[in-house]
Order: sequence, then structure tokens, then C-alpha cells
Amino acid sequence: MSWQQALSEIESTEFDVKLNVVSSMGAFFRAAAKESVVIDLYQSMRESGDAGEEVLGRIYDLSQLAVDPRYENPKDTPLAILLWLTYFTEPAYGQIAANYVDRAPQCWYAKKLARRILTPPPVASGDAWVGERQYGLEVAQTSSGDTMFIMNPVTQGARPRYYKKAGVPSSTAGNTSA
Amino acid sequence: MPRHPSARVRSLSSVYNCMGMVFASRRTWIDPEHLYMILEDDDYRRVLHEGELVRGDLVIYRDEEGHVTHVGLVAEVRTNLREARWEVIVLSQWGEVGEYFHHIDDVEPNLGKPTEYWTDRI
Repeated sequence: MSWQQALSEIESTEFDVKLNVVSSMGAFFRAAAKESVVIDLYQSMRESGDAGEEVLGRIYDLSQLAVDPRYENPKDTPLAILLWLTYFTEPAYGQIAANYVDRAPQCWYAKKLARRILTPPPVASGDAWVGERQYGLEVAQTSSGDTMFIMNPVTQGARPRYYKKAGVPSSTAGNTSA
Repeated sequence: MPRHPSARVRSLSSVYNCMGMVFASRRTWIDPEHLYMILEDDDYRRVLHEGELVRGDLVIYRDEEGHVTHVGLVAEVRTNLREARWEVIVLSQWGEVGEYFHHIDDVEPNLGKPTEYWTDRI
């Protein structure tokens, strides 16, 4: 499956329903990590800069859509998944994408993840290794049992690093945390 | 729901999740991670066999890794004499998708499998 097809399927209503039967953020991302379309897109984003940039553009487009204020944002699921993948493949883009998503109206999982990326929980002294549950985000595993990635930026070992990359507007590349 | 022939919709509200349906009168979402705290606080006890279930008891679902993924209420317990087993009909809210009556095993794969039964009967 091409990454364009995977992207399209992640935005489908069927995919949205499949993931939104679960009731918590951890379960949502665990379920997502088992989906072949998510794994395909993740691999493509790791291997191809085009896919990563296209996904970032798609996050921007989706976050700008007008929604009926009475209902949840119908693009909450793709926004959450695309932000998640972006954060773990291109951390610098992840910060930018989290800013877009944080401004998208009526989101749930996407907004929670964006807030988590933008304001990671503080680490107190003595918290050298606090385990997974303290921060609410867990290791996600593929259906084959391999650890796909860790959702928690703190337990992952480092905050997103800053690096300048062609195509990233300099005005948005202000995070110099090491 | 073509993939779930036993499922009959009861409501399409997204105001509450499975935990909110069971423990909060359909008013809000409750994270499943609080399940065992609630069971302990409210003096629930385990039911060890399907045959002991009655309407209103709880069914807890877990995924392959053992995480609690879902909870539902027993709506009906039928005896299937021909196949010598119990048929348990559950009422549960599937995330934000809707509330369904369904056979105990007939749920979306992401909701896991039924692993435990609990009751607050004296």
C-alpha cells in the first residue's frame, strides 16, 4: 500500500469508527499501532521526506476545517494519528503540527496529544525512571509484538530536538531545548 | 452493523463511554483505568461462572496484553440447551460510536474479549 493510500484510509469514516470504539487514550493508540495502514504510513514517513512533509501539510489542512460546534471534530482521529506519527518520525515537525492541532476546534484525542507534546510533564528530581503509567502514555506495540515507538517524550529519553531542515519556516523553529 | 450481526443499537450518543454508561448514569466519560478502584469502593465481587450471571452484572473485557478495554452490563442470560451453554446478551457503549445490545463475544476487536464478571448483588 502506498503512503498516499494509507493516508486516505486513515481519514476514512470506517477507520474512525474502528478506533473510536475504545474509551481511553492509551487504548486508542494501542489499537492504532496494530493497524496495518498506520504501520505502512509510519514506515513511509521514516524512509521518505516527501511523506513526512505531505503529512504535515495534511495536518495543517485538516486542522483548518470548519466544524459544527455541536459535534466532535470529524477529523479528530486522523489528526491524532498523523500528529502521533509525525512526532515520532520528525520531532521538529511534531512541534509545529502540535501547534496546528491544538488550535483545531472540537478535538479530543488529537488535542490531548498536542497538549502532551507542547507541554510535557515536568520531571522532578528523583524521577530518573518513573515507569510508563505516571505520564499516561504507554508503549505501543505492533501486532507482531515489536515495540513500535514510545509515546511519552519523557520516558523516550529526550525532548524533541531542534534542527533546521529545508522547508521548515525559520519563525516556527524556535525551540532550542536540547 | 454488518460485522456484528447480533448488535442492536440502543442509542447513538457520544456523551458517555462504556464506564460512564455503567457507573455514571450515562452522563460522562470515565477512564477504564479507574475500574478496579470503583469496583472496590462499591463492594463489587467476582462472579466466577457465566451461569451465575443475572441482569445488571458487569462483564469486563481485556485486550491481548491484559489491559482493561471495555465494560458492559448483562442484559439477559439465556440457556442454550441444544449446545449446552449460556448465551449472555450485554448492553454496552462502544466508545463514542453508540450503545448496543450484543452477544457477549460479538464486539469490535479493539474492545478485546470478555474475561471477568462482577456483581454488586449482596
